Amino acid sequence: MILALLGLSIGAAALYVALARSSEPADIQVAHAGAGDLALHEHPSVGLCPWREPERDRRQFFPTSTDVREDTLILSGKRTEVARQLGRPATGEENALKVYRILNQEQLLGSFVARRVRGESGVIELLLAVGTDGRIVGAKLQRLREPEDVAHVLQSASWLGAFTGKDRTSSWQLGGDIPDVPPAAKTSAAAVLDAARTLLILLGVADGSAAPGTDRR
Amino acid sequence: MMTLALQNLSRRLFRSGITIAGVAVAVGCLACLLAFGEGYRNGLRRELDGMGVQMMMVPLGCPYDAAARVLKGKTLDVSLPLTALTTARNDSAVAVAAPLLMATLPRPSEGRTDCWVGVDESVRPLKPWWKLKAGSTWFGDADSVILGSEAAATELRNVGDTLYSPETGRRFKVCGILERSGTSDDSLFFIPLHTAQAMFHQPERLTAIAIRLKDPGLINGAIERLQQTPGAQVVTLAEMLGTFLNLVGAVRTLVMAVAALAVTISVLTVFNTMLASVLERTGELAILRAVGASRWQVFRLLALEALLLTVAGSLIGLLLAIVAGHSIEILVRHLITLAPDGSLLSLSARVAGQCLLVGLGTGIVAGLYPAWQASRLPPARALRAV
Repeated sequence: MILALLGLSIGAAALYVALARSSEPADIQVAHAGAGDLALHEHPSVGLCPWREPERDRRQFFPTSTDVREDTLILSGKRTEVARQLGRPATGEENALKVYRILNQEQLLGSFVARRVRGESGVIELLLAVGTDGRIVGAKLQRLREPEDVAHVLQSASWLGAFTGKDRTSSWQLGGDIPDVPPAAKTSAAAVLDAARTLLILLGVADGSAAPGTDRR
Repeated sequence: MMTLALQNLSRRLFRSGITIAGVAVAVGCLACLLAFGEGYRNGLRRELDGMGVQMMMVPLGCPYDAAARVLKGKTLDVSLPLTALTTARNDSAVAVAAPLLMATLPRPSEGRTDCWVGVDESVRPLKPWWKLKAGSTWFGDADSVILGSEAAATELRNVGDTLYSPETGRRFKVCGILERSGTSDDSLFFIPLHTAQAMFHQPERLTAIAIRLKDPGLINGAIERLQQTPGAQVVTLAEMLGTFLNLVGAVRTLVMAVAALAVTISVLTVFNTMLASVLERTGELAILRAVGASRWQVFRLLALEALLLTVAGSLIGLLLAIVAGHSIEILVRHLITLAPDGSLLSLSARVAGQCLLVGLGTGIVAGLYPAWQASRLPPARALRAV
């Protein structure tokens, strides 16, 4: 009887230890995370960015569109290419890209992609309308909490309009290819430009286009 | 006398053992029940304390709507004068009265609603779930903001970053980010109360006052007094508090009933043993009387035997409670669906002392009559026996 109780106790203890250990892998994963992943932890998570005004944006950038198809493109297998084009290691959140395909019946007109970026005074949500050739059709800041003077510059047609026609190989030089902004707006402007370039690269790599203007989907 | 009592008990080892075991089980049950009762009460009280707020002063209007809105971090159309805070803080039953000024700034086109909450340092004891993920524990200056975890994630803010409020033109420095708590606090922007009052043009006004009492039992008096504050009304978290008090009351009644039963059984066991012992040892006790033992000495001998049985039983019972208590707690947790967190077994010195006192009392009560019977045996009975 005593031996049976002893056996049961040992069995229960072993089960407990096994269960306790089974909840540990997450910690182990963090401990062995690569440098790129650790760098990501230093900043708040970018996360997925919603598309806030689909109807309005479709009418504005693709007036002939009739339909939208939502795709989630997985880039984890193309991290090396993404990193090469970005010039830095891809973050964990750059393993996937949500793309809204804009259609006219069955014909693809272009795509919308969005990204959240760290502005100087809060989050900025950038929405890009991208043509089938990989060039920007239009850009919009969905959300920002910059001071009025900064917001005015960043949302101006002259500044955002300069994005039109750019592709992932274009130069995104502030003050060069893109109109300069006042010093107070430089940080946020740089963040928006980086986000635009990143989105185009991610979209291009995900779609497998070898060069701008090639749509191999 | 002690030697004689011990010898008498050891002569009938099995019966003494059974009696001691009976007392031990009774005292063990008593100790466990008292310890669980105390642990459960402490646990519930701890959880209630963990909830922070017990009542809330809100402006006149629908009180439950107001309380619900405030608890969810939403704004109210009307506000309280700052004098209501003084009234609340001066009340003898109030331990903490924390002023809140809330304002929401919706911007539907951007899919965001900024929920700003002005607080002062007194809110901290009411927010025990606040754990800092990063930054300092409190506002560095008037333009500091502490962000809920979701708010920080949504705005991509780190400690030291700037957060601008376009609607009010105020610029803040993020001084702290809270860990995720699962409450509405996760999506709020906390700023100093005076800053909020200036920012939303509400000087000397408050949205609500969150109150914690020194003792939940003082709630009725506190409500009565605070209800008299002009322009304010009091909302209690009555359902929660009522449930809490009912649970504690029910547990206490149950514990006391079972404990009384255990003690009664224990008294009867010892009584039976001692009475049987007296009957068996009638001749022996009469001889004791015949050789010169006084009635008082015979009475003391029997009473001591009863006491020894119950003290030994009590000590073993306490040991049993300590050893088996944890296993019983695990069992009890399966039966109680809403058991509070933390240990349910609170076997304190007070509980141990109570059990020992009950054990001694049992010995005295159960031993009195048999001892009295033994002391009344006439010495002539001994001669008849011989």
